[in-house]
Amino acid sequence: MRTAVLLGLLLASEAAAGTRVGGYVRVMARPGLQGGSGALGHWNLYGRLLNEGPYAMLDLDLDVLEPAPESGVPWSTVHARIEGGSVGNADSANGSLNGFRLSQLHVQAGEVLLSDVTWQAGTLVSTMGDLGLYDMRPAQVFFHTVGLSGRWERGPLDLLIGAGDSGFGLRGDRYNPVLTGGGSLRLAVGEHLQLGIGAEKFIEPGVQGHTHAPYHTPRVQYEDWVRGEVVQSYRAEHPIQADRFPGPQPTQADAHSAFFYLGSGAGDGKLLEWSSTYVRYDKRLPEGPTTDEYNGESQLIHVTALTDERRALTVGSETLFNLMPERLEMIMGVLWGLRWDEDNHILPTDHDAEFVSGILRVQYAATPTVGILVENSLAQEKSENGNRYRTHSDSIFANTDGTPDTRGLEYGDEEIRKTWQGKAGFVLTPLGPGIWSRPTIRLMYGTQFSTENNAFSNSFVESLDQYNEYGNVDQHWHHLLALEAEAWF
Amino acid sequence: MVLVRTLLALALVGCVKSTAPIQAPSPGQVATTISLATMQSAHGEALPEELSGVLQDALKARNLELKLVQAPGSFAQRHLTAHRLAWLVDHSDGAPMALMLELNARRYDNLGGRYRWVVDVTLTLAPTGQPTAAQTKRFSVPVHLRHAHQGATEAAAASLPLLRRRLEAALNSFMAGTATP
Repeated sequence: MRTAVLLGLLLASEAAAGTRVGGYVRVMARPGLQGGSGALGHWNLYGRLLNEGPYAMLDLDLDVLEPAPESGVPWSTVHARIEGGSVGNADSANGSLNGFRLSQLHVQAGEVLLSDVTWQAGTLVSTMGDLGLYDMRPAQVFFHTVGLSGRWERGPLDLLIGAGDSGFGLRGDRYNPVLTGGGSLRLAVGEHLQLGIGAEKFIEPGVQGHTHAPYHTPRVQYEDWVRGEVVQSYRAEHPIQADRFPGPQPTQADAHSAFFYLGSGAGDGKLLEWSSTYVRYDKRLPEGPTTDEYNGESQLIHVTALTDERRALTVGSETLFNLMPERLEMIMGVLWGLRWDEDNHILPTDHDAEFVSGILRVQYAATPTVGILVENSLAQEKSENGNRYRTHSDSIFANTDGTPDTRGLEYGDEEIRKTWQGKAGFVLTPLGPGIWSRPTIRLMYGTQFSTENNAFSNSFVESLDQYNEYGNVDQHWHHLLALEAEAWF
Repeated sequence: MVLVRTLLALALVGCVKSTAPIQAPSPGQVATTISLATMQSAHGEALPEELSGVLQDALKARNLELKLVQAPGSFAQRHLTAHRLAWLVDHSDGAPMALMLELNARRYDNLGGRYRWVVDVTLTLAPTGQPTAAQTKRFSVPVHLRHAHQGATEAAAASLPLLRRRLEAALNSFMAGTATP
């Protein structure tokens, strides 16, 4: 009887079908008093802190058929995500919705055909952890893919297999199908060791007649292409307009990637809480065509054969230490990357470079909700194809061998950029202490020294023209005060 | 000077305390059962070690004592809070109050590098002598875990700061109700 009464009282208030709303926000005020646009340095290689701009994400998850544990009854959810990198009054786009997109939309279903398998149709991106200090995710698959995947989780195993099309994700309005297949496997070896592997394969088939399919324009020299002189060179050899510029030859393109993950640690609150190490290898998909003009003649130059040898190797690790539980934490990150393009041996680019970085962050909780944060980062970036960085505002006069080279492909007078950043400030953590405790409000000061001149996003005039009325500025130190907030919700 | 003022302001913010606990008129035990479920299992996931400490502190501050009553495996078949509460009341062993905490942890995505979980909590307080006067609160606590291998137990542990706050508020409401003539 007592149970019956309780039932009557409580049944009426049983929760309705689940809807979950989550997200992430990052917003800041960082006046650029030295001519910058609000970031301490160029990018996350020096740590995400003070180098990233505003961001907002809204994530929605709705139960269509609510899961009923141990019942074997099918369940299904719909998931959508809207995200973008602009916030009103915090960046130049002023919160414009043009900067936002529906980045994820998928339906998940379980207890269908196979038990313990979660099917996902729609966007498929899946991540096996990250390097939080760098905001990088080397163990990620299906970032560009829409299709179908199945995830089987049982005991120590987490297996993901999927396939789909990455054409829109990779090619945008020049859509051509990019067939994608791959997966990942994570294995727990006891409580303190995790191993993971993953791989993807992309195939972009040739389609005769489809203008967005991969083609190759024959007899194009790499140097002519990067200088924008393909048509000019052709006409030098074939001055008669009746000689038609060579037509594109259909081909096919492919790419692949693979990663390895090793995670280990003693767990929450222990001295060595957790360490994550990632190794990732990519062979990138070739570029689409570019336009080349000469003497009123315009041609599309298809460069599949000139851009299909771009590879990247990235190794990163991050370790969290609890030096004094609930009081003092330290996190250490290292990152090394090598990029090489076997088609290009003359032009300094992101595809021919080596970089290395180390970051150390310490956070001390003076009270459960007030902490002091100090971060130090040191990085070196090297161009493998000659000079790329200007060390002075008049570096154009000090190019290779100290001689001006107006036809040169190099930019600046150094092939290496070295950067040091130091950051310190106060943090408020309403949910309690912790280096990753969020939400957080930070009052920070950051300083950077770079061997490159004005090594931060800026609007300086770099021209050495005598009519440059704004003049040029030499500065290697950059200081920034920041008030910022960050939250997951 | 500005920096000193800022420091003082920050320190003050750090010292803000939660609402004062409402004391029970006389000491008493609270028969307490906790259940943690996931999408795969209706009951029986390992509970975070810190959870009983949180309950103990919240009850002790109100002149009450925690008396843990281990939930049986059959809780997986008792889907309804009412059924579970009835079982707890039957096994309260003379404790004047019953507290049942039903947690359901569920992961649903990776948000900007964090694994987003939601811990749905059903918190029920009842006088064991009058279970129809049960007070039930339902709320969800979003938590964000760092690693892919972290599971329901870690999600429940991460929900404790907010869960503690809601538990203290529920206890205060319950104590105020029982103390009012």
